[in-house]
Amino acid sequence: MKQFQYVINDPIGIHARPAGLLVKAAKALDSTITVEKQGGKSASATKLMAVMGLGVKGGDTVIVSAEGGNEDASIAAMETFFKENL
Amino acid sequence: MGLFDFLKGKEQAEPAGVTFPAILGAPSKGTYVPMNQIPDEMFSQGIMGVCCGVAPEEGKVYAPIDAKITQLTDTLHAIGMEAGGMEILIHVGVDTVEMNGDGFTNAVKEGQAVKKGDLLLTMDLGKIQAAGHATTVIMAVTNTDDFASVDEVASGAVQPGSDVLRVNK
Repeated sequence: MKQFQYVINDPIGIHARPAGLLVKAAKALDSTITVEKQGGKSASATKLMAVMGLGVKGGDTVIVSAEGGNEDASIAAMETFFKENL
Repeated sequence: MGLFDFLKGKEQAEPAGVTFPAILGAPSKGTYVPMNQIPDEMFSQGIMGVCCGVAPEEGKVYAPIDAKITQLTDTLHAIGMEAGGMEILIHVGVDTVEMNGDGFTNAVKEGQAVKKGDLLLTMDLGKIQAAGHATTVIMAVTNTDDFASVDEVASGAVQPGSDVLRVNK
């Protein structure tokens, strides 16, 4: 399993639009992607309602992990996604 | 009638039970907006799941089906609910997250069971328009992939509760 930590820059956090984009990006990968709010819940990155339900706000730290498949490529794609969108 | 008779007769006796194909009712009174005409590509392209919209005539949003409220947002403009395995998101307006709750009032709490037609939230359509946003009330089945099909079954004028989406398991 590969993972990284990321501090959310978007002041509104993971609301509907970035959550939808995240689900789309995660579905395109061959690894199982999980997003965990530090000190909170975790969710499969392909489940929109679960991702929104994390309640991630600006300034929160998330831990993103990739399991199975091409983990190196998947985690790199997720790091790029978070930097560009959140 | 004993307990087990009740369980056997669940489809008829249990009002919260969902049978498929399930019908979702219009969340607002107004004009139906097909998915591909929703003025937000996140929804019109189906990224959020199959969805539909209503251009609302009044600032009220009602439950589309008997459901459990699973998610409210700090910005008050979106509500998530679950019914029979369907995850349903109702999102009021486009980019209204930027209004930070101004003009929106939630009428339900997280975890609450609601009946089709119950008031979920009210919004000030004038404030949304003044802020430069489309007022379209958007309803999406966010876990569309878990179902055989989600189809749009409406057009034209709709009343709250009018058939708008049909979900097949």
